[in-house]
Amino acid sequence: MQLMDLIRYKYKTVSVVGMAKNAGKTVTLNRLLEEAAEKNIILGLTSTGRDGEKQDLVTKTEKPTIYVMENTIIATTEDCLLRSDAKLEILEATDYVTAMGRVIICKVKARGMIEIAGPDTNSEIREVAMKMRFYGAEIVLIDGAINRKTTASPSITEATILATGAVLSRDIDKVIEGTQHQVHLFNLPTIEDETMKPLIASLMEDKSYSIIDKSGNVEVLDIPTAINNGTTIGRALTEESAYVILSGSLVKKTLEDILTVTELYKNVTFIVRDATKIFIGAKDWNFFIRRGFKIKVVDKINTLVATLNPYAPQGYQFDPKEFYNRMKRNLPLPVIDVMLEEEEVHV
Amino acid sequence: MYNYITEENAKEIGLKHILQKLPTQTPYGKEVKENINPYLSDRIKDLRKTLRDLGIFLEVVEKDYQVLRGLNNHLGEFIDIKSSFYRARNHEILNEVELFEIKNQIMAMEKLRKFLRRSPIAIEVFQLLSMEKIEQLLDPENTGVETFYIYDVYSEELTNIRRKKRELEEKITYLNKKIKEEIEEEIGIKPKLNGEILVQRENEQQIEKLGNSKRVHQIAENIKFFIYKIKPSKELKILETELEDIKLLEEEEEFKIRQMLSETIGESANDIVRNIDAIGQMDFIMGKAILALQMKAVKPKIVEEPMLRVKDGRHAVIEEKLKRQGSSYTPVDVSLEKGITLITGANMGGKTITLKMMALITAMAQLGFYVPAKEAIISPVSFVYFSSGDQQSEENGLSTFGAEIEGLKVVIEKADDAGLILIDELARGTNPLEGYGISRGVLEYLKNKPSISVVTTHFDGLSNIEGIKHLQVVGLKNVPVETLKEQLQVSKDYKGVLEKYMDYRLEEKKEEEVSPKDAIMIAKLMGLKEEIIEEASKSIREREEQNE
Repeated sequence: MQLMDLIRYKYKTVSVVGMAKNAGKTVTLNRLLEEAAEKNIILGLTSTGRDGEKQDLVTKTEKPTIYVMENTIIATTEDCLLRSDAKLEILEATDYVTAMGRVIICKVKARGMIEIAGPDTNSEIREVAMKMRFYGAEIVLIDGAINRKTTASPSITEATILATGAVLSRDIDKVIEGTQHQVHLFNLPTIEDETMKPLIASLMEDKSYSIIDKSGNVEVLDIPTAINNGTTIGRALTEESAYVILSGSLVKKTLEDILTVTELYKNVTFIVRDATKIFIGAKDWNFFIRRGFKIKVVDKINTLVATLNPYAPQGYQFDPKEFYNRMKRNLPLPVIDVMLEEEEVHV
Repeated sequence: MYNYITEENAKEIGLKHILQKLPTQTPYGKEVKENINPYLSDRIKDLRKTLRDLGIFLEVVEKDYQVLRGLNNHLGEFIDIKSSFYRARNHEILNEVELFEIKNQIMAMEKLRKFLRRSPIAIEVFQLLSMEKIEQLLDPENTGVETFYIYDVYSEELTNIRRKKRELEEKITYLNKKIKEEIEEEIGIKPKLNGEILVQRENEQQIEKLGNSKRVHQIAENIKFFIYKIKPSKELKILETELEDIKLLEEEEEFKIRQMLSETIGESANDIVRNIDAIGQMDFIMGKAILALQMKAVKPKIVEEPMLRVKDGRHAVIEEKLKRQGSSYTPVDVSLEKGITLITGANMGGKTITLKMMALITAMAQLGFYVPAKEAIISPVSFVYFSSGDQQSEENGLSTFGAEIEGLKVVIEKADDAGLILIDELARGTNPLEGYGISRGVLEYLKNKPSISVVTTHFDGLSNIEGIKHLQVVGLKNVPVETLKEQLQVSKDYKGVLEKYMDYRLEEKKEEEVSPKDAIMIAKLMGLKEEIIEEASKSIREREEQNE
């Protein structure tokens, strides 16, 4: 069984995100490209961050390059396109501008290497994915990211592949715990109250921090971020409060501050846009949940499979079999070792 | 433009708003709009032609509204890539994205040209030069597709290079696959995609085989594994070097082709830029036409001798605003010549709006627009000046009065230049005695100048200056006071009642007469405290008795 078998005929847009740099995201991506070529699937390919570079500027580790086959549809920037080794037919110049020029949609005419750098925002990526589908891509792959720097989130795709690996920690237990936590966050429940959904979505759009009470009245809090305003949020809670809308990031300090000023947090549900907005580690998270915090998301991230890379660029590595087996036991989803290609995907 | 009317005045009289409202479809049309300049008296012929062209276009549109829709669709496809054409003209080499955009624009031009052949419009700028040659250049396989690629057909050399490249790639793929299969057979481990072979330390037999194989070499080991990598065979090495070389050749050939394409585009750049200018102009004409239709505007007649004659003139911006509020604009006739025209009359009688209407209609006509009126005869003026009488100039630390005088000083200097000078409530910001004096001085000065000057005032006794024309707002004087009172009892909305009965039209006064005292009545109707009204009426009666 291959990665593509988990995707084909089920999902039209799939993102690949890495837990950290060198977690094996590009290997996973390349593997998807190989499989697609084997099965004659026409792929669309774009990125929310820059990828396909030979040298990773931060750790100076050599990264696999993106080698694209004929007929693949690509959305990348003008700069990347003009430097590409693959030969490309230009299909459309979009209005989306990045630091590296406009995003151009093209089709590979002759195979070769290329750097992919797509648009910056969620809506632009969604549009570009739609355009690539229009130009004939059966499945659109998005090289995604989970960090504070990008606004784009894997929640815009129908399914997400999570790349994780030894790079996270020398301690295999920590890697497993961290990955488990990330998957847990990705699978956080969405708001089930259908009547509240449109209201909450629009409050998110407004980038506001607000409290909704049981009868649906909204109080918008006059704070720019939640980070240093946990006490303000906590003090604004009343017996009537039902939801707290946090349109930005959710960090440990905010919840700690709320804890110090009120008990009322137990009666409300905290809502964040999606799991990529949460920056709380596994231990702290469990602590807050035990204390009675309820946290939900607007957009769920549908995690399809976790890919493993037992090697760390720092030079150490885990026993691949052990790493694989323990991940498999601890994650509620299929796991695949992208380094050991003969390994089957066990569902 | 700003020699003709100051930016502040353009805003005050509503010209800015009109220009904002004028729709353009293309960046080229927008550029034309942004650089628009009024026609002055030395270019009457050009102005007439511009207006005639607009008339021709409107006639076509009236006959077949689809033309407007068709044009709209065709113009929607243009983005601003003028600089690429300039670069090509300067013998610079264009990149693939630029060539792609040029191809798109050239194809859009051709589509527009063909559309205009089917629906001809007898105006010069609606004739585009043929771009067939360039279109063919960028679409050498004649597919009609708007995408761009450095196509094989551009040169035989490129075709050959690419064929060779493909063959090499295929050979390399085949050899790579073959060697992997052979190694798998020989050793029993399938090599990874990147050619690495991982073998566990305990598999001594395989390790021995790998150690003896000439086709692999060990590159790393760890606690669990030995890692080997396939050594590229001599044949493969040669092929890969060849592939690198051929890729270079391909680059070089592509560069030559881009050079050729850029040169050819550069040679036609002047024609292309001419088409771009024409597209900007047609877009602008279309915008003016849409505006004319929206405002129910007419073609102004342009004459040489100084005059401004408007029948049923409307101030389009204020009219629109009133419409939104559910009321309507009363059109006003004006007839002005050079020299001074004095306007007096009731408060809330629309004097200010009428002044703005004069300014706006004049400016619009001189910019080559149709004007919102039933008829208009206009002579181009060298400038338009509007003094609102309530301008503030805080940066200069000037009061209302100071700012008014500051502006007057400048315009008085220009009065010999045959402009349009409109002054609302001259010298209202100071005491009546001196205000009257200043007004008299200004009027005496302006009356013999070639400019058309209009001054509104509430001061009595200015209309008896010899040689000036005196217009008065009809106002409420034909409405019996009783009717107004009754109406106000029915409806508390004094504004609505006033608007209903106020006659905004102007009538010419021949002999000197005291202006009607509407102000007190209007204040009364608006519900100002009764005792104040009584005191006001009393004091006026006393004054008048004294004077007699």
